[in-house]
Amino acid sequence: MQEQLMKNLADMGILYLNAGNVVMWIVAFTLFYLAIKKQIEPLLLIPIGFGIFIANFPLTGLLEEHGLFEMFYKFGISTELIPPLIFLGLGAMTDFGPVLANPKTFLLGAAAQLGVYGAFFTALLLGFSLPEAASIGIIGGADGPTSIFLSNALAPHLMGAVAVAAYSYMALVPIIIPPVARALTTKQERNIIMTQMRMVSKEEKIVFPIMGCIIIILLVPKSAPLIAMFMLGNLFMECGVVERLTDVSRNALMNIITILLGLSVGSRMTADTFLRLDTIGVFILGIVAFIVACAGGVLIAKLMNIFSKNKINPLIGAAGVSAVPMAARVVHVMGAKENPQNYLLMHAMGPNVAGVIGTAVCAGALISSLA
Amino acid sequence: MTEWSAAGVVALTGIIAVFAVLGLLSIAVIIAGKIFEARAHSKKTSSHSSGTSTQLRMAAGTMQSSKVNLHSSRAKG
Repeated sequence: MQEQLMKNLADMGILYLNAGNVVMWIVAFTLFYLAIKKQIEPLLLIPIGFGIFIANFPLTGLLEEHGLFEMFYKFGISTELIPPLIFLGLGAMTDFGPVLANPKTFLLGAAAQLGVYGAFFTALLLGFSLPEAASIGIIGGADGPTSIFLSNALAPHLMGAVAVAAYSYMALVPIIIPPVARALTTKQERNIIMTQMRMVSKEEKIVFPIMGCIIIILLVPKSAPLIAMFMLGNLFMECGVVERLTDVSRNALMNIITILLGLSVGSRMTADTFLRLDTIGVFILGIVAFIVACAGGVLIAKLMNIFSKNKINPLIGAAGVSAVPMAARVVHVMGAKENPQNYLLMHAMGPNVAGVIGTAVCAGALISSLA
Repeated sequence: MTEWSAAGVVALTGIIAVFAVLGLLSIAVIIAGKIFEARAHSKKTSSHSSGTSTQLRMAAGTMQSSKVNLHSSRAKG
């Protein structure tokens, strides 16, 4: 009986709690604070924070071979199942009308991907390997599911830090974009009023997902998991004859997948994997990626104005970071401050949604080169 | 050195891929947009002209029936 008692006492987690676990709890509580008090990305930061919190309890078995969180991770993340399902929901919520009305803005979405490569090279300078640098660079795409998809394929040990950095910086877009966009544009440029967009027909919106799949997947096949699901969700929405599937994709399925994604990602962030110098590097490089992405979009917009008769307000280039729709809203507010007659929201949605496609293509290209 | 040259190739390939894909997509969207606009315009034009000819036929029919009525009332009178 004494032996049994000693064994039971020895199985108590409190005896194995260490400083690293407590530090990770503080990280989790910080995410809870940001989500609940500041309302920053609560749908993701709460499950991620909770995953971190629970994963840092000793002796739970949750991360062992048949543990609950290990199974979420194994079946959802390491199989690369969850990010494409999120893209299904995103596609069912995305209106491609603004980018179809002004197809030049696709190039602004492409330009924002320069942030990925800016951070990629900076990460290499700091001593990260090629796959690690690519996983860090994708933060510049400002797309959570794509960041998780790529980092899981190339550098799974960085996935937790990359995901938290990506979602945190997406929420900080209202702070990051304005100074960068203001520094790279003149008052005259910010005052450019954009002409009304043409009406896009229903048929165009139905044909686009199919046309998009043909062009994108034939050129970058490894982007297929993300692009195919994105376009499927969009086709559900635009065809108008499968409202039940659209409703499930954008509501129930998204919500379920978000819970599983958050817990799986958070559970990877144990003290031994997260509390390393690499993690600080990821967070610093993440901000570099965002800044270069925003700058890339603005500069390409200015370049396009040199050759184009119909000027575009270069502020909308900053919306190429695919934090939909927040980046577009931030740009609209900036434009309205300069000129209250300027309504940039729908114009900025063009590069904003193009950026989602651009980041997925970027991820596909990186997987082709490095996996 | 090998890693930097590999990184250069990866970056160049990626940037070209992104711009090429989105550039082609924008061209395809422009062409599709023009095709759909032309179709919509021709539908509008043909429905407008068939509406006009229908109105003319109806007017002709009305005139014809009023001619018949006039003729038959003259016959009765």
